Amino acid sequence: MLSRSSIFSFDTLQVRWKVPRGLLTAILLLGVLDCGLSRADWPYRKYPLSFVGTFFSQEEALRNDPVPPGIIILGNSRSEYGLLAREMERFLGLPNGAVLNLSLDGGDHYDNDLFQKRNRQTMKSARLLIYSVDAYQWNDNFPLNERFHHFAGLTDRLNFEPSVPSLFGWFFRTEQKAALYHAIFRQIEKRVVDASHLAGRAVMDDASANQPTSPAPLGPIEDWVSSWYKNFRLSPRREKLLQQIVGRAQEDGQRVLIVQLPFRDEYIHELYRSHASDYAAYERSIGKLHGVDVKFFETASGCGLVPTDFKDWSHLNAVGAEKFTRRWCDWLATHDKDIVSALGTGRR
Amino acid sequence: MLFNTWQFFVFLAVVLALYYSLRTLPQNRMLLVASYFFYGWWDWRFTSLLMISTIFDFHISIAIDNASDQRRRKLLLLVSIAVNFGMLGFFKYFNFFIDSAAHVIQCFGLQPHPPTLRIILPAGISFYTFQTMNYVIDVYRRKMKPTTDFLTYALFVAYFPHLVAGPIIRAEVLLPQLLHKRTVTNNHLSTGGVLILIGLFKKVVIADVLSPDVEQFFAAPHTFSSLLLLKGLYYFSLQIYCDFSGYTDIARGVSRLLGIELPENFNQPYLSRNITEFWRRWHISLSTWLRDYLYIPLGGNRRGRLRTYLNLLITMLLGGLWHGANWTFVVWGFLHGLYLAAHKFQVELHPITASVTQSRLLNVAKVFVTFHLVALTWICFRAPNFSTAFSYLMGILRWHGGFNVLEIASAIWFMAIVLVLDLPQYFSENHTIILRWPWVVRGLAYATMITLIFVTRSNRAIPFIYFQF
Repeated sequence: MLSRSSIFSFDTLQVRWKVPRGLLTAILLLGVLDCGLSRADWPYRKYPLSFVGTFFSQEEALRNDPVPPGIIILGNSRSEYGLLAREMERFLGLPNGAVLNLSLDGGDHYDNDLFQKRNRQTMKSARLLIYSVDAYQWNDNFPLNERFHHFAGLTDRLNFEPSVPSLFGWFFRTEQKAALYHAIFRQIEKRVVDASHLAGRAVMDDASANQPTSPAPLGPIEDWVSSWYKNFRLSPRREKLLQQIVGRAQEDGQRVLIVQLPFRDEYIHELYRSHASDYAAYERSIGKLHGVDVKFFETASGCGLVPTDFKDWSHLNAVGAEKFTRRWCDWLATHDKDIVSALGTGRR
Repeated sequence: MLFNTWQFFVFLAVVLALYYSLRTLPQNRMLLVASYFFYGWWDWRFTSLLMISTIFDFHISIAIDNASDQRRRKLLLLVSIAVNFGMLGFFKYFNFFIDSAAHVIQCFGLQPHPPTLRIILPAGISFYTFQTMNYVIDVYRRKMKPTTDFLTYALFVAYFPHLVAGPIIRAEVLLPQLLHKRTVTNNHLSTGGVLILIGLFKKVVIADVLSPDVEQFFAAPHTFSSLLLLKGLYYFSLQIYCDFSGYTDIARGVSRLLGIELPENFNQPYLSRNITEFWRRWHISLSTWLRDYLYIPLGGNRRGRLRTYLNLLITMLLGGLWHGANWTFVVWGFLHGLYLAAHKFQVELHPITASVTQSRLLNVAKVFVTFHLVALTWICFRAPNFSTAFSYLMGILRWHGGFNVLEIASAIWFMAIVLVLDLPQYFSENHTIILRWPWVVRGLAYATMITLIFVTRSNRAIPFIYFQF
């Protein structure tokens, strides 16, 4: 029966020491997996559509540019799809390769800061840095993406995402590699399916049957806006990253132009209705940057764009991108006439 | 606190560290505090209900034991049943009965204005109510003497590994373990660890991965082809099994790390060859509770064939209602009652012969049929209402949309994973058979399971389905 004599005793645990071979094997395998796959870059180089893969392919594009770029665009998917580099060269009369769009899908200040740090030497040729911004890049509660989880060291994690899962992810990177592993599974699945003639046919039939006949319906505008502004809190740490990007560019003799691409009118109306103060805080933060030019496009109609120029509430489609790029070049040719003409005549 | 969160594993590490350094009595006190902390993590207000139930049943069981007059004993038992089921009824079924009564009144052309209360269902109330009831009834039946050690009794009720989703443990199983000194050996650690790993794998890699798809299928069944609805049904069958048995595996594993053995609650139920066997393998602690405290007191099979069938129906119907305050659960229970009665009838007509039981192919066919019969009843269990259940069922029965095996391939893939887990356990009758595998295979299995748990886990831990019961 229960003894009341004392509190402590260590005789509950009666374990004989034995080498746990199964467990050790598992730990070894997990270590190999974590170092050989989860922490490695090579899987992403084979999978260029992933967030990390895009980063590497943009680095490749920078290295393989036929001429040293004179204008570099950094930013996110809105500038990736909305500013057409080849069109800009054509409209501005610049040589092929003079404009390089290095925007990253879902790009935030962390990604762009990292990109600039890793490729600063190659980017030094540029005279103009166009940096595309959106408020989510300032929002402390907007989660950092897969690139952060791939590249961030312990200090960055403590600074930007000091949560237990994030810190654990630094130790065991596999924990944060869902997207990578899902992509690998999908590749395996595809190969298995393609290997079967019957299955292959079924997939092809399916794909043709499932081709959308009209654009995918957009969700409610309120949901779209709130997904970017959810729990908006201006992040001084993210703000500082942009200051570093600007500072480095200026040190390298680049003029920095901060630009916000246009949204569909409904988006801007909803934004002013539901998140006006957050939007104002983000604008004020940009206003604090020294020595930069800022150009904010807001409504689509203000730029001569119509709803059919967009593929969703905020991303331009191919037609819209061409229209907007032309308008953008008109503005740029006037505003940065000296740089444009210098680049056009080959002076750097 | 959910088993599938890092907070739980921090909590467990602290509990184990303290547990291994204390004597039995302080161990129990520490476990009691830990259990209340674990339960109060959801909502501290629920702990008061747990405490009231514990204090009440502790004292009433002693009063029953002390009473010499049989009438008084019976009266005290009835008071205990009334209070326990009263609490359960209020928190779980109040709005259900009020709504149902209002609906009946409406059928007579009247417009009632029933009171509706915003009652929050305390997690695990059905589990601990059944457990305390079992204790009081066993004391009343003189099957056991009530304990006079309040703290140990309180721990028996609140013991955290099984508190919110079972298994429903008999006092005769758990109390003696709590009253005596425990020792934790290599075997406890290894089997406990393996059970936790298997449980997490079932929950995170299978149940949680299937959960969003199941949600879609049952939200608008009329928008899917028959084959996809069938896939949704397979998905839910696997989801609920892996969710619930995963919980039990973790609970048993954690308890083994404490040197306390919890009974099995699942024994590869989808490999059952008939419905009776299914109920011997599915939620064993509930089915045996219902058998011992409802079916047998109703007369069991001692009052003729028809009465046996009726008893089965009543037992399963109430078993269905135990799951939740919705008529869909009642119908689910009723269907199982029908299945059981039909199987009993069939066995009485055609007693099983040795040659039949040895036929492997026939056994596989029986497993296939039993699984599909059970899966069909899950429609009622999962659907939020009858119209959705009916729409889902008719969507399958009125076959439309063709048959493309690729559409259902993922369901087959998940079934294969479950079979890989279940078949070795089934044939060896050992839930930790993995420990007998060669160490290289074991290591590979552990590493694969751990990787998949980390890779497939969702950012927000998904609660266990049975927490709502």
